[in-house]
Amino acid sequence: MRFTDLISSLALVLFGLVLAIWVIPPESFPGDPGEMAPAFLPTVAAVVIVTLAGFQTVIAGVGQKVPTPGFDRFSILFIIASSAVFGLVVAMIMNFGFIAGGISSIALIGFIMRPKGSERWWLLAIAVALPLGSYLLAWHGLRLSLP
Amino acid sequence: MDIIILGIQDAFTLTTILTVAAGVCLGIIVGAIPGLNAPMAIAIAVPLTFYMSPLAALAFLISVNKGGSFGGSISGILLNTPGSPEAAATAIDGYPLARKGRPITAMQMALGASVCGDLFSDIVLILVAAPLALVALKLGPVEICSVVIFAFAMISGLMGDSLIKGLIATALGIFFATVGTDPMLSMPRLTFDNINLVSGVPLMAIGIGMLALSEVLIQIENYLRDSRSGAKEAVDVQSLPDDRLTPRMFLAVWRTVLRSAVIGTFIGALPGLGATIAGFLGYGAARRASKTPENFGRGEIEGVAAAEAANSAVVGANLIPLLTLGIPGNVTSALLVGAFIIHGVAPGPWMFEDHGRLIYGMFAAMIIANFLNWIIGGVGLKLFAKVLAIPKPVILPALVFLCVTGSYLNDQSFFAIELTIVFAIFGFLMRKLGYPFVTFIIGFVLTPMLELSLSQAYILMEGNIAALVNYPIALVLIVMTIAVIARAFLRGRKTGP
Repeated sequence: MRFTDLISSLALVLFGLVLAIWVIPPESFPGDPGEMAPAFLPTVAAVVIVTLAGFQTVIAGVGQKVPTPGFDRFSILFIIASSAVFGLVVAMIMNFGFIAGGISSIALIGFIMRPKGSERWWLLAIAVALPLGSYLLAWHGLRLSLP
Repeated sequence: MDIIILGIQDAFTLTTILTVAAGVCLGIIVGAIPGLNAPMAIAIAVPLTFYMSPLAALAFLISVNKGGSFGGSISGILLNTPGSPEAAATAIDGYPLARKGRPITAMQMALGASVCGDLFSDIVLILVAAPLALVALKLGPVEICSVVIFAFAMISGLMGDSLIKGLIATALGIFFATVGTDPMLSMPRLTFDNINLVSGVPLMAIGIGMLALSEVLIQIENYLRDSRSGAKEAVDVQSLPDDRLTPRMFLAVWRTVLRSAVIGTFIGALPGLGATIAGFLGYGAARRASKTPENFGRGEIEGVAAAEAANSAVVGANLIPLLTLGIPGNVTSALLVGAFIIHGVAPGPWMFEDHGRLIYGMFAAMIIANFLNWIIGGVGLKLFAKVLAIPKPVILPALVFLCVTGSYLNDQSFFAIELTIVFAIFGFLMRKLGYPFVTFIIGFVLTPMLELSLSQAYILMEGNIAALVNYPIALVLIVMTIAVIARAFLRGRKTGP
């Protein structure tokens, strides 16, 4: 059993318990007598998550742990960095609009990938052409004004 | 009959034909690029189709899928790196054939077999969908609820390595689908007083995030992890030789193509099984039936035809459960549900009554798409092969921007972009940890139908589960659900039950 199965199933047990106990009851209206309560289905989903993840925790806890292929420290760092980059992308588009924000976003992500030689010029061309093209397409084709 | 003729007339308009041609081109290009696939393109394109007529929108999306089904084989044959998972079986013989100096022959065979397999399954769909829908219309809420539960169990059991993970992913999908307004009381539920959540989590935020953007993340990670993981040009795509598939060579494999088309259609009609399985089953059947099985894996052109006809036959057949029961059998069908809903059409058997003209127009557009796939694929074969040379540091950042734009266009709000990014990260983790994101999406898509039928069934049965004995079809389906789950547990799948 993979080590990540143990961690993920523990996290899911916790998530399901939080949903079932603290999130779903205050966020759902009580139903009328004789009808299915609005909280019924999300509660069933949370109970299923807790039960199955709990079962998986037991299985994962008993067996010998093996590493998960393709998921290591690099993946964790990558996803944290990606979240930050995506946050930056959204901030750029929100503040500078789709054209300027789009150009800077494509260039930013592209240069993180360290393009070589002529790839840089391709990247810059796409970085300019795609946001401009999307903006014009949205305006002329879809009658929509992108911010 | 009038509806059928009107539907066909709608499909033969210039706008629809051009839309289908554009969809086929996009599908082939996206399918050809390793790491990208048709469902990904469909996820990004669904919001754009909001501005098209319902028929043009559906024809476009289905054409992307058809083009992508063949496009995946291009990189499989030229690079031994299938553009989409379903082309993996095609690459087994396609790549050795290309290495022998016959890449065009292999690609033309893949194209011909793909179109024939796809056409066969479309014809089956057209013939069986309406009669099956008539039967499905007789199902009441108790039966519908049981069908959905059975579909969850079947899809969860078949997707990924572990039934437990499949069921957990489905439960997560159900939970996220309950965010929004409760369908019975019309009161907000799990919205945390956020006005953006009152209409629920948008399907497109999940589709684009989990399907497209999370895949882009994985591609970027792979690229950064090892720059050599980018596709290496095993066959020079810039100067392909002038070999050619002759009609005689194609006709020689007609039995194989037909056999694979039947296999693919059967697999496609079952929810949860996908084109990848169909490709390998078709390939295996051809190998067993061959007088020279030892040639398979060494550039046997029959192997290319078998795999490609089988995986493409899934495309049309996948719509059978969607159109007859409203149940999407795979992720593409789940995304099509989004497109149907955008255009005010609730997927299910009632579509033949309420939107018959649209459905028959869509059927006609599917047939047109097959022929255009053959023509466009054949004429532009060398051109499409050149997209393999586009470097990843150019294409992947562009895709991130397209995903962001697509999610904005769906709701015209930055909240949709933020949700898309959250689901992209969630999808990335699910893929890495082995939780099938497809069952999550199908769970999400089917929940409104499940909740409505469940609440109606609750009233009908007065909350008494024992009343299920009065509904034999539902009872059989529940027993089958238990059997599917028990079988998967007993088989002790790869990583646990």
